Amino acid sequence: MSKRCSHSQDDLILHYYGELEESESAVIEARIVICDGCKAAYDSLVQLENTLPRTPSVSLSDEVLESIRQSTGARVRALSEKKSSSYSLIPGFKRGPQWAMVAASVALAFMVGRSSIEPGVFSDALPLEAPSRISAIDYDAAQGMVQIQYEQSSMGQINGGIHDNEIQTLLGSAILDDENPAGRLRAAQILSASSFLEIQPDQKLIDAFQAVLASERNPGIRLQIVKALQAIFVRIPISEELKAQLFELLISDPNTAVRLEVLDLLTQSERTSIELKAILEAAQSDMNPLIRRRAEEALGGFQTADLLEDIK
Amino acid sequence: MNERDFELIQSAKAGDNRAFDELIRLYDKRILHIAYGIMGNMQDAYDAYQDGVIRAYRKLPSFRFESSFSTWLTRIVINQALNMKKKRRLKQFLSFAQPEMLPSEAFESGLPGPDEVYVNGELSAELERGMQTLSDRERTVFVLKHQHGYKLREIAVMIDCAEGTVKNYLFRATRKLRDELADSEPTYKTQAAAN
Repeated sequence: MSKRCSHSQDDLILHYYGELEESESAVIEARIVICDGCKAAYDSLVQLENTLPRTPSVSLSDEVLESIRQSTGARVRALSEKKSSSYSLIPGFKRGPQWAMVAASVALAFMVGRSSIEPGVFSDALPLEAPSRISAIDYDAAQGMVQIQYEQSSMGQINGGIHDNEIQTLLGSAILDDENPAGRLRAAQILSASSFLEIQPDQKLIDAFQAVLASERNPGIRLQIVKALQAIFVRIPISEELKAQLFELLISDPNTAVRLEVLDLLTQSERTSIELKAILEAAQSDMNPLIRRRAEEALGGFQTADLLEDIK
Repeated sequence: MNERDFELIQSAKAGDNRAFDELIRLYDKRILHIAYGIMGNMQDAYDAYQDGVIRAYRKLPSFRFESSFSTWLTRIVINQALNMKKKRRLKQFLSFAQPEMLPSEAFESGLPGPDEVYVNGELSAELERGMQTLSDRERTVFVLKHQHGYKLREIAVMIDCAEGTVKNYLFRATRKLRDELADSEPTYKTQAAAN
């Protein structure tokens, strides 16, 4: 009798791994008895088990495990200490009240008038990780004015220009910490719609953008952040760290629009480099035809620039 | 979710690092084994595991009890491991990386090197050769199913895809490994007989 048969081998695998109902498994058991092909296939699965045991193929001693635990615990503690020190603006107060006092002082400062704030002092004091309790954000694009409304009535609302470091810091805090995705998206939209051409934005805001790109699951928010970076990095070199992050996004972000905008950001701000060329070559095999074409065009542009350079 | 997990999560969320530590200890051994299965060596498994735990610590405030903590943590570590493999391939592609990894914190702190880790039946080379024929996702599904016995629906949650897709990964992985091991039949038969 032939050892090949027309029965489904997939069912055999599911049976072998205990994924079938009892009645379905009974049918497969009967089939294995009467069909040589199925029996041979099933035997090969059992033999597979002899070679690849059904238990983890590595044994960790208690000593090794404890060493891993110590090392991991140390990293967690370091992170925790770093976090708590960044919140220790006002010693003796817990995180919530500290944030409330800082926010209240911002509100007060804005009410009294911006002239009462020394430039730079505030942005150094406010951590971007501060928990955000924003209920609404409005933006007047013509005037470049932002209005942030807080949930707690005691904080009221804060108005300021998009170019103010304080406002940028509050928006940065919102994109990182606002629990409501709509709030994060709104803050990101405002930042991307703003023109940063005339000023250098606060480094903490760039750090916040990087953190969002690394952790935000909502592609709409990632997209707005990339657009905000486009507004910032016009003829300004991108840091190596951010560049590496953008390279990775271009290759691996699951959202096509995000990859497309990253490609534009890199080609608009980067000079020709071996790394960029390599990444553009990788993007030529992107699943999206538009990205493939843009990458091809950008590479063509680089080659022309190289030729012109050679002629000079 | 059991009551103990729930209490520990609540305490950890409130900033109790010891509770977080205790929570991790409940699942770390199994998760390290999973990471090892995906990465293929203890050094990389350790890196993926530790980065995953740090990520879980950062994300803990957003944990909403929609799945068990162990599933949530496993999912984070698996993501970390898969991303690490993807990054490594990208780096190799760009020729940024050195071909061999630098000795890392793990080894400096006295963790075992590959030779010090006992591998069942000395099958690691053959097993790893077979496993290398699998894609990252096929390998992950195979490890979770074959070695850890998770149900396909649980694996689907862990790797964030449909159950049908998980089935297909399992079918492909099983067939590839069966074919691969059939090609090395003499060794394989000797080992099977020895068992």
